[in-house]
Amino acid sequence: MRNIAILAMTGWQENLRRRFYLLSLAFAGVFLYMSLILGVLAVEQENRVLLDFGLGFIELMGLAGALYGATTIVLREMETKTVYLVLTRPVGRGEYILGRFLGLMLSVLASMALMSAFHLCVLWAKGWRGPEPYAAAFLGAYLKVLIMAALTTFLAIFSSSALTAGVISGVAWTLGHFLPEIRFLIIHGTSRAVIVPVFVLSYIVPDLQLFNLRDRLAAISLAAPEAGLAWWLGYAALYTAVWLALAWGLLRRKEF
Amino acid sequence: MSRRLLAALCCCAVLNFLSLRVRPADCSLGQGLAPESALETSALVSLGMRRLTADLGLVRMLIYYGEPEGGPEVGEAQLHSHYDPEHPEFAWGGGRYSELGTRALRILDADPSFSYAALLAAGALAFNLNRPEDALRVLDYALSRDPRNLQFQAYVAAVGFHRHGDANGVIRRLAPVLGTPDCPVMIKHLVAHLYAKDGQRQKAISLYRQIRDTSKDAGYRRMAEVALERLVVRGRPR
Repeated sequence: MRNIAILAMTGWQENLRRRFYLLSLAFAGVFLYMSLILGVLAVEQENRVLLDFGLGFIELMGLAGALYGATTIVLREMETKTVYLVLTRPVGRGEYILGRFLGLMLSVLASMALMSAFHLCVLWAKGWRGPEPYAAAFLGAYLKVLIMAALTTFLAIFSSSALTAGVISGVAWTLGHFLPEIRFLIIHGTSRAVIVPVFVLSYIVPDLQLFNLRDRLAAISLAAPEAGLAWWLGYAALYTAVWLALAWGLLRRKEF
Repeated sequence: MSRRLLAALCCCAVLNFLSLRVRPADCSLGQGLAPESALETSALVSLGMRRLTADLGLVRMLIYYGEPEGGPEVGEAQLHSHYDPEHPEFAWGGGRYSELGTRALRILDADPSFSYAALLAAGALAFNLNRPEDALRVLDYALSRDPRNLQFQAYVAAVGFHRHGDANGVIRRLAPVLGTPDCPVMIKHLVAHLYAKDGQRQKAISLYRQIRDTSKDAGYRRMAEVALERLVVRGRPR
């Protein structure tokens, strides 16, 4: 446990040195500029548009940081042989993967929290006072990024290529959000040859729409019953654990 | 390793199966995509931003309804300069705005809880463009997606009264929803006008003042000022 904590903190410090948080500054600049334009266009719904745009942008920035980190951290340490320095000490490969992953996710969380703080400041300045549950939307976005980072870590080790891992993760992200449409197609589609691969995929890709609380902020009182916090956390934890365990299995087979 | 991979995939399948049982599938996009925004909508939905899709749909709808159908050559000042409360459709360029209803349905597809878009389109269709059937189609669709929304139900009733020329019925149905955050300023303006026409001067003045002081729409603020001048200074409703 101590090894994992040390690796996580080292990863966090490395991300700080690599100016990971420039993402947050970039967000602040773009958001301020866009808020001026959108305010004019959306007239009476300015606050809603600012809320949606900001939350969406925070999620994308978080995803970009997480994918970049997940595709490069382990691969770079393998290429530069830095991994020897860690694994020649009494550190298990599982601890190494978990420590690096936690360091990355800690950096992503801090970056997203910074962006959210700025976002909330702008919203308050514009007169937004809720009632949308902002924290739930933020949590949902973070859980999505967490799942994708775990999947990408596995893909990066599996393919040994940051580009391949990034592209496959992008496809998984897209499919994960299209699951309602894919399920609609499964029910109403006619050609079985088309449906079978889609059917299989619908059970493999992460159900990211489940965590899209941002899109259901005002709809939580709609007729459809809303799944609880325990279910979201459980799903995210299990999905993340599955892909990290696979990444660990792959790393164990690698010879350095 | 292949056995582990298979076990992992089985785990994912079980999780997704349970997620389907715990949370029913979201409403899918049933109206098809608009040609001018198909790419944008697909991209935003694939990125998981359905609410933002609805927001951009609203912005597009506002631009569509804010411009004359003949083209953009008529300036804004010209559009709003001859506002006639008896014929509000002329102030917005007249015309049919045949896509207004469909655009609202697409917005509801992306975000069924976005009542503002449905109320705006239904109000414009029923009270500005005199097409209550189209307004009811929008409201029916909105109610099918959000059956418990009391505003939609009030609008359906108000459109019904409007079809029979019962201004008091329209006021009775719309007055309770004027204070809701999603109530479009257009509807407040309509009710204020009906109050003035019905001789309820104080209520009309109060509502016009509210529009003037709180609305973010400069066009409606200006129209409220003109109406207030007429009611307060000259002291007579038109």
